[in-house]
Amino acid sequence: MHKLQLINISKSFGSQTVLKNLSLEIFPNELFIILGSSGGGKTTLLLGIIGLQPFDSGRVIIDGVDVTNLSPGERNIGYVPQNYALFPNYTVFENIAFGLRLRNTPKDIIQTKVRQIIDNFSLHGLEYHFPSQLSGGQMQRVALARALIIEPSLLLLDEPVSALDIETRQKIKAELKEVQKKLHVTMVYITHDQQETLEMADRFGILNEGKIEQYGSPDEVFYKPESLFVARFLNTENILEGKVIHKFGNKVTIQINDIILKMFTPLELPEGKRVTVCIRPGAIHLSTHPAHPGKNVFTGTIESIHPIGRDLEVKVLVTPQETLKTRISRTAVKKLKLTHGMPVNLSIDEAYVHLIPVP
Amino acid sequence: MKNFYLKTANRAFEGTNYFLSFILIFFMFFIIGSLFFTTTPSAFFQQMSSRVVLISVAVTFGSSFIASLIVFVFSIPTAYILSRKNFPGKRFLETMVVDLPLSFPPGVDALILLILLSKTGILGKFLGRFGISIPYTFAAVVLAKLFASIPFMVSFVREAFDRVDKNIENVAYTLGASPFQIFYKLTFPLSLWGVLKGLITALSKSLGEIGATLILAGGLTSSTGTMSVLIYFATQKGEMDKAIALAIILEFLTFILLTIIKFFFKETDHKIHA
Repeated sequence: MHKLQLINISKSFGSQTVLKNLSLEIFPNELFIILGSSGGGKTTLLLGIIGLQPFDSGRVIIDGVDVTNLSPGERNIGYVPQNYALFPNYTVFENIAFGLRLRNTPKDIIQTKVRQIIDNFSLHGLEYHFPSQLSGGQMQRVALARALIIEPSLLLLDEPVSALDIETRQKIKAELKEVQKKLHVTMVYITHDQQETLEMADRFGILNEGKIEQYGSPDEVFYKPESLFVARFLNTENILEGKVIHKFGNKVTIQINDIILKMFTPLELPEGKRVTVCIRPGAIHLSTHPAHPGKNVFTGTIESIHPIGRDLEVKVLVTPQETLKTRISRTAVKKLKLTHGMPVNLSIDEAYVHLIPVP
Repeated sequence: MKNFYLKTANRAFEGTNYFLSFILIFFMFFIIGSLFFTTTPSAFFQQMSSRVVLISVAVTFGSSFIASLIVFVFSIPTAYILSRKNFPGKRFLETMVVDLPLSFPPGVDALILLILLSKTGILGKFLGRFGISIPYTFAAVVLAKLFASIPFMVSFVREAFDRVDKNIENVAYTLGASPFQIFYKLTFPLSLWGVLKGLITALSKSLGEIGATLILAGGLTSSTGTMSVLIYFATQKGEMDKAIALAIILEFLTFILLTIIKFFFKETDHKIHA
């Protein structure tokens, strides 16, 4: 049960400020992901938490203890870098035992602990192999075992699956989640991969221009972005500009050119207020049956159909100015015989429509 | 048509590579090999048993080993600092320790040293108080070889240290290792092949060094007469049998020595980077 607090962290390299008064709290036993684009300061933040590259200002607190001025070895943090950084001149056994040997742990305890972790990570038979003889997945497991054997307060992982093929990546992600739950480890994980973030994170934060732009559970951040940057960064498919034309209690009516959207919102939005409307494809239901006129039902024509991963993205022109994007499976497209120019009906589930007030 | 040109260009590239490599290799073998046919076995063995030749072998290898050992001891920390630390004046230091000596003929360093170590020089005066005089002694031979080989060793070792993945050291820090433990458990063993390359180059430079030795040590006495210097004097005097015998011994022993070192280290390195 270990908690990490970062308070007013700042770091600059020359005239370039990489981290600006960043504050963040990571709860015990959670897998927290820091999501950001390349060169956005993710690694700087990670190296600072470890103590390898001290911050210019701010404090790092683990379990209530200020570790800002402690050396990396004294912070008791496990670290798995992107390339795993296994020690090439040591065998798997020696790599895993490295931290224990530095702590002068008795030989019999080292043997027991290493054997146990080798069992946990399915590394049987590889004890006397050198890292150059291991596959990517095996290297990843050795790196994890080496970091976890010292029973760290916190485990930091720098893009741990980015170097793996898709199959191994899926396997390792599942294993990481399992390890986290089984060993009750607090993990901080950095990546630029949204998909990975949504699959893995208990909570995540988006790092932008040296600050955490928004943090929360994947559902919270993914469906309720608090800023246009977050909405765009998370590739929200439908980002539309509109204004509040009617408000009654929690009910609002939004006009987006010729589209009129009715919904509930907890936000205080006066009539005339400009808003950014974010709609995920999952909130838009497409059908070829004649529409029953009702709330948030629109007719339009198919403008394009593009493959996106396993699904297809269907772009529907609902007014001369506005298109809405939705996703449906390839089999549904075949079943509905969707083609370019075909008239379709869209109904929007208001529960998944999110509004961001324009400042 | 495009394919035809591409194939022709590829063939021309391959052919040129083989042709130029063959000329170079043939030239090297011809030069080294012809050495063995420029003397008779009896003349060679007669020279080999001469006291002057045997002493010069001892002086050459003895001084080269001592110089290489000193170079090794001083180059490792210097290369480590240049590789790992950032400080004002680092570039200037690199230029002074590596670049400048590499581009300067060793004779220039030797001339400066000779002036400094002469009876009227700053260092010479200081050492004179303790009854020590360096020029034209065995120590001068070692010093000359030292200056000829230092920049090579520092350069190679620094490059080897630079190649060690910083993440490896970072992980070791998080596991509780001290900088010294990281150096002897990881950085140095992982740089071994580069260190060896530096050592081989330093040793080779030492064994063949002549300019600086001639200036600083003279080479006229038995304790300063290295093989290279004796070859030079023998050639000047027209004693070709002696020069050839010395050249053959120098080449042969150097070849054996470097092969042994390379083989030993390659085995160690292979275990790490297999």
